[in-house]
Amino acid sequence: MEKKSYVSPGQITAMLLTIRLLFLTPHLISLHAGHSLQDILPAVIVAYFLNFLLAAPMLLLLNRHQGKDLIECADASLGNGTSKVIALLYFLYLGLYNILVQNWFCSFFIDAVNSATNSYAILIPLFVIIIYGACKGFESISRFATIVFILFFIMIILLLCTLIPSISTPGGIHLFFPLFYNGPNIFLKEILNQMNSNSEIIALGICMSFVKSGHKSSSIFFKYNSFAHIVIFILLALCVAVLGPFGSVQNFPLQTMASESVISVFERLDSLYNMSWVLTTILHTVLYTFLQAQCLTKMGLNRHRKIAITIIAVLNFLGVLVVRTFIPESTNFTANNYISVINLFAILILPFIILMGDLFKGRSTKHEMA
Amino acid sequence: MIQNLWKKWNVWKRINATEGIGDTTSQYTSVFSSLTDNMIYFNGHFSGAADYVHRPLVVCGHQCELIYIDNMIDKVVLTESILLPLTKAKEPAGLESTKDKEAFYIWMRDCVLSMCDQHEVFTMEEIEWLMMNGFAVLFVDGYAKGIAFGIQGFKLRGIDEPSLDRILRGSREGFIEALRLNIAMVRRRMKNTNLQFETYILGKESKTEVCLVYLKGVVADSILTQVRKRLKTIDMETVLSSGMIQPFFEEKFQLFSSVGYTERPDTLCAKLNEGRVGIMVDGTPMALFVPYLFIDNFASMDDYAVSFFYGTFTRILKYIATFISIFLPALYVAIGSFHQEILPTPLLYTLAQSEQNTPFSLTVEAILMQIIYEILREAGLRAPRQFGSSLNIVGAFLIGQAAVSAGLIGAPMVIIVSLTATTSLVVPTLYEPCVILRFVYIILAGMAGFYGITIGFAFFFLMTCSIKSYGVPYLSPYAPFDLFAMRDAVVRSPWKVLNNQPFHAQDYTGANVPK
Repeated sequence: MEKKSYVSPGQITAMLLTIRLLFLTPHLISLHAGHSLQDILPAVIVAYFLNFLLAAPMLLLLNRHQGKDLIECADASLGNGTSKVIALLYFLYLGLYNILVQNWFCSFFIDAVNSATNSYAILIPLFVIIIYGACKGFESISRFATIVFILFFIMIILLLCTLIPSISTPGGIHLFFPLFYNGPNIFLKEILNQMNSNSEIIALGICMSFVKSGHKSSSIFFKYNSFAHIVIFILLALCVAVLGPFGSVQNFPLQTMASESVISVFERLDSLYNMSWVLTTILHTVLYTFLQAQCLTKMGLNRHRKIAITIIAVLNFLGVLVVRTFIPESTNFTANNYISVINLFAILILPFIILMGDLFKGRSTKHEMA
Repeated sequence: MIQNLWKKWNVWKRINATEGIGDTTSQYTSVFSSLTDNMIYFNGHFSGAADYVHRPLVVCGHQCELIYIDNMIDKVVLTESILLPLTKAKEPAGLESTKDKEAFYIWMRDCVLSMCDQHEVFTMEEIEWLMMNGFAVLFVDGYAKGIAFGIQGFKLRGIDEPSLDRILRGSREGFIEALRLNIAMVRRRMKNTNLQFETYILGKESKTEVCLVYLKGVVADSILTQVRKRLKTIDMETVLSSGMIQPFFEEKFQLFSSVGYTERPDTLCAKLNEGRVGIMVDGTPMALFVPYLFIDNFASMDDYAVSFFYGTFTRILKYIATFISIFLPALYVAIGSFHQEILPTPLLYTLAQSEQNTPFSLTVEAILMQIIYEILREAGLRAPRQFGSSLNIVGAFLIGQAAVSAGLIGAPMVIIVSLTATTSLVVPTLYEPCVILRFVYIILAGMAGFYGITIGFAFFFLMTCSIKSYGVPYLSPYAPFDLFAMRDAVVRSPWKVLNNQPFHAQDYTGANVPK
């Protein structure tokens, strides 16, 4: 079993914020946005508030058992056997997202960066670094997340500074109106899209055992959720303002917007911005692989951790190959209804069941941790 | 005569016994009371040593012998402070009449001999060690002890400006090879009774003196315990420099060392005040200190001697220089090979024109030029001074206009290599890892452009994020982020802010150092 290490709530917040923003950047908006790119903006605001509802059962549960993660709470509430089943379910859930993110990243890279690239040339280095990073442990991953967070935000600020002058004027504001001109479908689809990008809520739930006791998960959630949606809103608004209707026919509008960025004589800086997005993908996949290994530990398989991580990474890699070959439409998984059901089950229903079990048994270890 | 021969035989047996003479604390050999036995012992041990000197003398009718290693002692002091007083000593009448040997010895030790560094020794091993350190030892027949005199007179290099840690404003003193003088230099700067020096002997053959220095009450006990533990695990035949024992204080294999070194006593004192532990080795002008963090590479004493805004400027300059040193060749290769769209058209045409006639790809050119530069640098370091000017001329040909005119390399590559070489010397402590990383990133950039560089970057940061130096995260205060400690990281805050609250190594966020 990994030696217990503790990280600060700030590091967790930075890590989850960075992971959440990953789903923003090479975001397949156009497949559901059509010609009404501006309709996604109110959807982001609604999604922000809906997130609180989604995460409420898990946050309440974690608040009742401070210093414990979701699976440990299940163990305290529902017993050892049930908690192992729950650990397995979350193992599969995290594995699913790991596979989908890798597949989607591969598609993004080939589509937006270099169409001649072979998938293996993208996936194999990623595979190697996932194993290396996941074996390093949670403390190293969280410190790495701090570095990625800083670089990511430097890139965002650079993007903002270089693109604000490119906002279509005069009357650029007209691009934001009228809202819902093509009906509410785009608005609703974007809400679904945002909801399906929320797997980091579960990551928060499983990471809580690494946070020094006394720190509330709700505080961490509030901070990263708020920051993330503010940044998402600003960047998508910038997308609309800079690209206009052209953005709605792009597969990855944010990538296209980044290519418009100019610094002095240097143009087409999307390759540079891609570096931060690649780092974020690496962080995401490394963390999720580590958390999958944590789920295995909770199931009782806590020996030979590095071998377990390697096997998980191999399984995920094979999953990516299967998905790329047989389910090509999985690239736009955030708009998929099946994923919505799975997400809802993992984020809302399962923690709700654990919470009910906890309330029914009247167990709370909050007073022990105080 | 037979009795004498028997005594000699017994002493000879003891000398040649192989079981633990003086190797462990439980196996020390006591000084013999007979002067003859002592001389047989030492003459036997130093039988092949041309610099071993033994001087018999008679002091008030008592047989004595003085032994020392030639050229290790100051002969003037030996003559004036030891030999002269002894040979001219006249035993007081009262003492002579009583024939009290013990009283004579005490009188000779306390009234005749007038050395300030003088003490009694009781074991052979200690005497041998003292002699190797420039002590002379006096034996008196009938006494199972010797008197050691610290009259070191071996030639030493003068205290000079350090060659590695040069600064504009501040002390020009650097450590030298003599440990005791180095200790004195530290003591002069930290006039504090809490400043502690602990000496150890390392190296089975060299028996080198090593000194641990720390500030009691400031250093964390756990760090000190770890350092002492590691010191005791060092099992080497010879310890000739601090660099030889440095790996024993590091964590497992790392690209970046978690052990710092300095040639400056003021730097070492500053580190001691931050709760670090210093390690000084006799025979080396480099003192080690732990824990050592990434930000320590970019801090120097000059930062604190100049105004805070200029200090901040120079620190930022060092970060930029390190970034250029590691990434510039790789970025050039990546942009030139995969991401030409970043460059403005006129610049692109210029680069294309300069590279179109060269036989090698950008990756091969970059690697070749870096290797040639490293060869030139090594040659410059090792070559005798007489060859210096020839080396300059040859170097100019190899990585200069001649190579460009010959069509072997492009002109931009010469500029890139020159800039890289210059920036790599801004932070000398990071030179070694920067060279390795530079080559790695060039290869990754040549294979996969920015994606390859990013993978390398992620690998590098995952590796450094996992390093801890005695419980303190290596990348503190960047990761984990510590806002309070950032006052002296990239920015050098004004003294009013720095003096506000002392900050020690164990205070960093994420430091797993029990106080």
